[in-house]
Amino acid sequence: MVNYFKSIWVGLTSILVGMAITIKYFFSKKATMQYPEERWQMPERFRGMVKCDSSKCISCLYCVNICPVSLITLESVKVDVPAKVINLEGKEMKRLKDVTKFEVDISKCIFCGLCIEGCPTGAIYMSHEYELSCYSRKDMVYQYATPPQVPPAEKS
Amino acid sequence: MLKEYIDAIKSFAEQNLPVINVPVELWYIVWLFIFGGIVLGGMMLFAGLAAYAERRVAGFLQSRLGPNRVGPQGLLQFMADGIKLVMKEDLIPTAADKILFRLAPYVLFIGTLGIFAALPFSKYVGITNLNLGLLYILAISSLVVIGIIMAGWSSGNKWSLLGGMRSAAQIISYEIPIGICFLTIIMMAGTMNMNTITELQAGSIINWLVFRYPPLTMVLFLIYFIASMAEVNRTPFDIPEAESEIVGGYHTEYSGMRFAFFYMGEYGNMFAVSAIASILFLGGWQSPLPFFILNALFGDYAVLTAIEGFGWFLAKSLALVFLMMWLRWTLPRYRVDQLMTLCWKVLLPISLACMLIIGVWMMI
Repeated sequence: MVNYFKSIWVGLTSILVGMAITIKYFFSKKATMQYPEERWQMPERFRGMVKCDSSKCISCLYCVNICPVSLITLESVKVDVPAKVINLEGKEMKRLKDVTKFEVDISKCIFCGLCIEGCPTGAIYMSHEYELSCYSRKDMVYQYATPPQVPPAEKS
Repeated sequence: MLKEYIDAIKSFAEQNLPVINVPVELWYIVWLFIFGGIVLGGMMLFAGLAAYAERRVAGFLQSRLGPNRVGPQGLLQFMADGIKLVMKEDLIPTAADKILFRLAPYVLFIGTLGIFAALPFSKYVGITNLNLGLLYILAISSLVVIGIIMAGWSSGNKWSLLGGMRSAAQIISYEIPIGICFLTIIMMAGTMNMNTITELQAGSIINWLVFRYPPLTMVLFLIYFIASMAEVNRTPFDIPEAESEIVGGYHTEYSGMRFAFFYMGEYGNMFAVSAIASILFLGGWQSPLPFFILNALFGDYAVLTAIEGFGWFLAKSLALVFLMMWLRWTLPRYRVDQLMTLCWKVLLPISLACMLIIGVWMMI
């Protein structure tokens, strides 16, 4: 008989304890993030998308050769007046070539980051974008260099 | 109550409008449809809002937000859900008993709607003023069980049948403690008329029936609340629809509008039992203060009393509805044997003892 009432009492009080816990969450700050309006602050070394600042690129082809899946296509032309680029160590380098095509097929990318590690001028880098989906495979190929300005053919 | 109103409208129309000579029967039928539509619409609106509130409360209790996209704060979510359910294909399984399958949601829904006919929503506001209100409610709410068993049986699905049988066992068991709570109230009030029971609790919070014979009436209130939660299949007593065991129980095979009827029936029932609890134990539309606030502010008008009474009634009922939601998202589900143990070994003897002691107390 004592056990009977004791178990009822234990049951009721434990329900109250549980309710106290849940009501605490009712008034607490919610864990949900309203995604399209709010976004995560990505960590500094987050590997999003491979991007290139083609004005810094000296066409050393390091990234093209190191890439395990060969997703970078690089074409360049020689220029007469070399521009100057400051590399990561702070030294000036001569930029003898002008990049005419820097194509990254992000659908192949394994986000290993090898291309970034060896780039002497820091031209190639990983952005913090993470919404990389698109409707066709062609859309996944990104261009980072301005194509060469071909002078219009003279009329004959 | 409704009849008096219709008569009043009729005499008003006869005096003020020139030539309207409608037969009395037609007059009554038209106005019954109008008032029925108001109650039906109100109940469906409440059911929709309650389904929204349930999801929102569930979200908040689980540290997330719940639906908040459709309309301001997601308030129109139930409209979107309703439209979706109406547009859906209405499937009837090949193995189903077609007639019963079609009939079941309406039987359940009528059982729920029937309860609303006897509730005093406020002073002067209500559908009927039944002298046997409590008995009527006890009787009409049993239609819900029939609907559930019909749905479970006619689906031609073993899980549905299991759900229906569980529900029958559960509701029949839990109607006994509820009946004893009703009996005690009838003993204390000396009437089954819900309006008179509410009038008895006028004055202030100390006149409410929960505080009439402390602590016995409080225990009875607790028992009524637990048993009514089991009666409307709310978690932790939701074994008839237990998703993880028997898929969806009796409404597994339903889709589209029929499912919406089950859904509305469930939420309507939830409000109905909360409203009954608030009328029987918490004074219904009576103010917890010794006076009505609107009356104290703007003078002694009956309209103000009715408006504020409706407010108090809604506040009390919705507080209990919130408590049900809170409990749902706190407690896990009972096992079938635990459910029966709770009813027959705990609720029934304690409620009987309370009734006995209150009876003796009243004699002294």
